[in-house]
Amino acid sequence: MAERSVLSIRDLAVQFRSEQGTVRALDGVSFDLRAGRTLGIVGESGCGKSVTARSILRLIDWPGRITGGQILLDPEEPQPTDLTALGPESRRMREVRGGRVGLIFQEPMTALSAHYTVGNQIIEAVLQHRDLSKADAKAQAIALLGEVGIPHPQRRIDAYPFELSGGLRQRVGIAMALAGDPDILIADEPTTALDVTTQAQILGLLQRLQREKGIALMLITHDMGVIAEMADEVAVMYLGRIVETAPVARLFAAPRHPYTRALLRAVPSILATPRQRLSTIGGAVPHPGLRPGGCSFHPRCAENLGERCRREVPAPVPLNEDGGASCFLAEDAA
Amino acid sequence: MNLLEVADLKKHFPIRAGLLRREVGQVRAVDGVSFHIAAGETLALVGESGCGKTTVSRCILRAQRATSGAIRFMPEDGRVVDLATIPKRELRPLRRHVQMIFQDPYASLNPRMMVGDIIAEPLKVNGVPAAERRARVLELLELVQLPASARTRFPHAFSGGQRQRIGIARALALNPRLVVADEPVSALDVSVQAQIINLLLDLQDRLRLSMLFVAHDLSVVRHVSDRVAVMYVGRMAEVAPTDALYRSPRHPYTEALLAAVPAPDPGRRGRRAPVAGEVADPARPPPGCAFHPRCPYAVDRCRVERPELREVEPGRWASCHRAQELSLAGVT
Repeated sequence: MAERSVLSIRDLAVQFRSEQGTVRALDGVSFDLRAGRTLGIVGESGCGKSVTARSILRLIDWPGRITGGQILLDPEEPQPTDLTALGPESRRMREVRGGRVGLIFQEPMTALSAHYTVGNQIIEAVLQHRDLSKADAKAQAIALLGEVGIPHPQRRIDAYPFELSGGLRQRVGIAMALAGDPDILIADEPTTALDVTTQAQILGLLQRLQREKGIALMLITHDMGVIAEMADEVAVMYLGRIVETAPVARLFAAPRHPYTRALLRAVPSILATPRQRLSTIGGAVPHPGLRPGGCSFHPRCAENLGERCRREVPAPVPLNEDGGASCFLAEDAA
Repeated sequence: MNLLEVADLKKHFPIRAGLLRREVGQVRAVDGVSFHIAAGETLALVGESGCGKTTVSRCILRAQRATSGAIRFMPEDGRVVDLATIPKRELRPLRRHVQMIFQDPYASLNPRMMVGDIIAEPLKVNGVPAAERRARVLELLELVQLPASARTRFPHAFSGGQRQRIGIARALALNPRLVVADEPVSALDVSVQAQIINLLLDLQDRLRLSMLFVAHDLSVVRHVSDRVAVMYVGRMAEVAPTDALYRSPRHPYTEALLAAVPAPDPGRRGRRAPVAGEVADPARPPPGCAFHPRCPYAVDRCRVERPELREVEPGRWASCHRAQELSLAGVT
């Protein structure tokens, strides 16, 4: 498979300063986004999945900042661009944002203004990235609305966001993300706020767009069902680190990290038997500012080796296609 | 008689417009809903946003007054009251029998009160003496698996899952006959959600708890409920024992809902196309069956005649003209 990598994250670190001290929101995160593939990023709150998305787009606000690592655009070209070296408001970064990397939010109103029509906003986004006349931009906006499955796009283009249902608003959000014709899409919990039948439609739409355009999709979710439905490869995050990466089938069939194993057993299933109890993970996700030493999962880990897991940090997951786990147990098994 | 019997419940909200705020229409948030809950049973009320499930629960709690219909409730054996019509004065002593577990454990606990006082508050309001309250609080903390030391701490010291345990302890303080839980695990992380689901299962066994479980997550519902009631645009689509409903739904909307839930199993990927269209607007529901514009099985009759909820086999109800002839796919 080894499709072309379009974005390489290498050893990315992000810290937030506060009066209580420094929070390491991301602590050495590495992965690749490949053309035509979907990387699912899954984890519980505070694991750093949204910070990862925002870092790529250089949308981390003070007091947060990137403190290490690289975000390489076109890593296989002779001259890749390191996005961490660009100013967040630089011209090049503004071109990348939207033009190369589109972002779909959980709540589409984050990307939309309540005061302008849907059409105005998409036309604006189109003009930002393409040298078109106003009329052509409008035609393009109508085409985009049609492409994301909005009925009667010629009419809907004059609607205000509040006149649309949640599902249609998210379709508009996707049209906005596509306005600059990006080849990378980051979707941050794109269906979490939607009803389940609408979610199914939006996931189907993302799959179709990806297939047609060969987009590299990074899909952030807390929902293992969405991962199973959508991802080609999966990265599992816990407290600012990737603890396991795997092709999706293997992740579910033979998870290698104790956290992944525990998480999969804790997920309620539509296939459950009546009154079926779930396996639980003891305790709760600690605050990212109170990260335990050693392997940060060790206090909750049913399989921990004691001393070693308390003191040593396991090596990061290997960057090969088959993935692996950042865990001494997995290292020893290999 | 069952613990709770809801019969033909309606809740209509006026739509007002213009300078004089004249009523120009009605939102039929709940439009003729019937179901029952037996003692010791958990009934899940499910459906997508705007289906009316929360309005039903608010009518049962009398946070809202029903437009019409009956909510017959048995506060003690042999006595039945109608929560829809009972005067406010007579309602007060009944409140202890119906308690609520909330969705957001961060918003539902007073940050300035110690946990022990939060749990004891319903006891205090009902005149339980101080010494007894103390003993009961300890008992409740043990029941929800929190340490006794939690009593003297404030909510902020606890995680979301622990706070939800505190909310559950408070709801159980007075040994209510019925607990109404509105999305009690949907704000929690997966690992914590599993703990609370197991706790609810334990409590059902230990206390023979009767519960109305309002939820949108059909996976969670399959774990915790004995029976499921599916609502669509203010009406009941289907009521059935949990396992039967998931294995062989009798209403096309139930089939569509089940098909839309992504299962945590990549081998089942893309098995069915999602149902088209969007949930109808309860202010302007389509004529006939409200689901007909989205229903792949709709026939002419569905477009003109509204189906009533009928018993399609013993213990199973569905409001579909074609319930007897369709063979619908479940999830197994």
